Amino acid sequence: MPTHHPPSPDRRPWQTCLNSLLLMLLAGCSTNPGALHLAHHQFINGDNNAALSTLANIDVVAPKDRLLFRMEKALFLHDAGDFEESTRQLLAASKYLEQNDYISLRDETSELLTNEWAGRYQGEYSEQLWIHSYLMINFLSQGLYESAAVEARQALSRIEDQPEVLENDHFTRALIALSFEAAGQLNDAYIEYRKLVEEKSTYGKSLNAIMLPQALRLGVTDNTHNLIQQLQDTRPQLSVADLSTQDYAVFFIASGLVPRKYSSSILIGSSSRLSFPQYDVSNAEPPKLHVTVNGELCDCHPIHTDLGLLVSDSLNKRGIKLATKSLIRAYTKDAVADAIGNKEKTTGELVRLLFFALEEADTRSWQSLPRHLTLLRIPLPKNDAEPVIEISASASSGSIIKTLEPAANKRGLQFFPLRLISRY
Amino acid sequence: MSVLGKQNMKCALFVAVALSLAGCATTRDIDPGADIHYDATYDFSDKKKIVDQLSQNLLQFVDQSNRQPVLISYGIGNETSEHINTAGISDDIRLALVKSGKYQLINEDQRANITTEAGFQNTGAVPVSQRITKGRQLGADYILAGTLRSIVKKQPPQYRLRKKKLVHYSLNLELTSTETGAVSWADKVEIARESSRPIFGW
Repeated sequence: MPTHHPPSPDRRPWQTCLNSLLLMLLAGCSTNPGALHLAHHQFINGDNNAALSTLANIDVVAPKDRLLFRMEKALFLHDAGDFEESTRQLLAASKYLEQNDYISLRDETSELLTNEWAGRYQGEYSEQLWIHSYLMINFLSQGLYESAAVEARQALSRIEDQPEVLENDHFTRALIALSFEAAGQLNDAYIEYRKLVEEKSTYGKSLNAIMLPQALRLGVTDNTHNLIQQLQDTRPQLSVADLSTQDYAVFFIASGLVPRKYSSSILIGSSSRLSFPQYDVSNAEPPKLHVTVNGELCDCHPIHTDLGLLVSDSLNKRGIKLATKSLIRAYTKDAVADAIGNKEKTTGELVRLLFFALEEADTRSWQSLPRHLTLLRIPLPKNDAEPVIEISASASSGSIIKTLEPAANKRGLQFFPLRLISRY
Repeated sequence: MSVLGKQNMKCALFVAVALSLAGCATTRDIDPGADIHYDATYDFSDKKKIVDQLSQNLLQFVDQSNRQPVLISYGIGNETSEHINTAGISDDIRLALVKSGKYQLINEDQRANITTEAGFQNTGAVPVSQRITKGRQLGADYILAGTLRSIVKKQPPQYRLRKKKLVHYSLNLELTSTETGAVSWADKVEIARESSRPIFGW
């Protein structure tokens, strides 16, 4: 007759502990960034359709990577010119962030014994902002100006949350002002343009001509005289009346590819290590643009943002938090391995080895973003229904020439999103 | 059946009932007039409050011409930080005005369709007596337009267990005379709300 031997009181807790640990490790490793990496490689190799079919269904990624799925897919769709579906994905990403804006005890617990990969990806501060930037571009490109202004307000709220880092995103700030301007919300537009010029006076070269008609219409007398004076100094042939009826073609130019996060480690003793994510941001100049309108050189002043620098600054802003978590994790892992080792030395060492191997920094990121985003606003010649704009751009990543013909007889602002330079 | 077996049966039954109750989807009708908010953002109850208040006040407006004034609605602009379909507000205000019988409302949305229909009737397919007579469209005495705005204030970062958010909505509605350009009537509704959510969750 078989006899049942209960596990020895000494062993049972450690087996349970070990089993729980293995389960948590499995949970931590259950991420499938494979689909995202594959789609990214397809995208940078120019096969946007393949990238989109790789990300056809959200189930190809673990629930904790859904934000990444939405962001990557939205960018592929944006590049393919499907602004409507791209907007749908970005709005879902924005909603995801809003709904997941809390500290998850489940994430914190699993991350404590595994690594940061076990938790939901919430995006760097700058990535969260760029969701709104791309939404603004999409809405403007679709002529949905009021919706672009709604996103502009949400972007301002993000900037307000992390001003030290995000105020340096001059592209997005100019885009915010532009969205207000397009929606006819001139007061908000004027305020944002003025903040930009006050921060960087060289932007006055392009923005003063936009601000003056707004200031006159709003009755902002304190700055009007100043603006007229500055404009007469630089462009004496300009008349105020002409400025208020000026039409523009606005280009959103994406170039290059944002740097990737990588994992760095520091050894503590012989059996423990701390891992943290980093960006290797090499110097990269924004594209040099040469713009002609009907063959004449345009005195245009683009506004650039280096996304590489900004995303790296965003990560650094979380540095103390990440380092603290890493230290607590190392201490916890050591304590657990020691406790198991005190009971069963071999198991303890095995667990320590497993912990060591698992200590890996979370290098998830919005990989398909460009390195630079440039806002270029080109005044269109008056009395010319079909002007021809030629933009040639050169950067370290290659060069390209685009010829565009804005829609005939369309007044006001026209918007053109472009990926001018190869993604490699 | 042993005592242990009976206990297992009871336990299984309890789990089955609990699971089936937990898994059941439920629906219930609610009073459309009830003030229900799940969070601080704009919702159905807000729309109802705005529409009721503004349409009631607008009905008090007395046009000096002693005839049924003709209105055209140019919609309500959204200057909030939420994607709100403000057409819902203007449609409901328009409905209240039409129902009151005090105003005539021009349906601007149907202008293109009216032109198409008039064009068809004049192709010869419709008897002359039944055709639309040209030049009998109403001219608007007033333009009805407004703006919905919001101000959102988040609690500054500090050590706390809940995050608080204040949202203030205001809807301004104006009636502008097409003859003089003067604002003949204006009113606004304000809604202020605070919401909080826990910092921690599962």
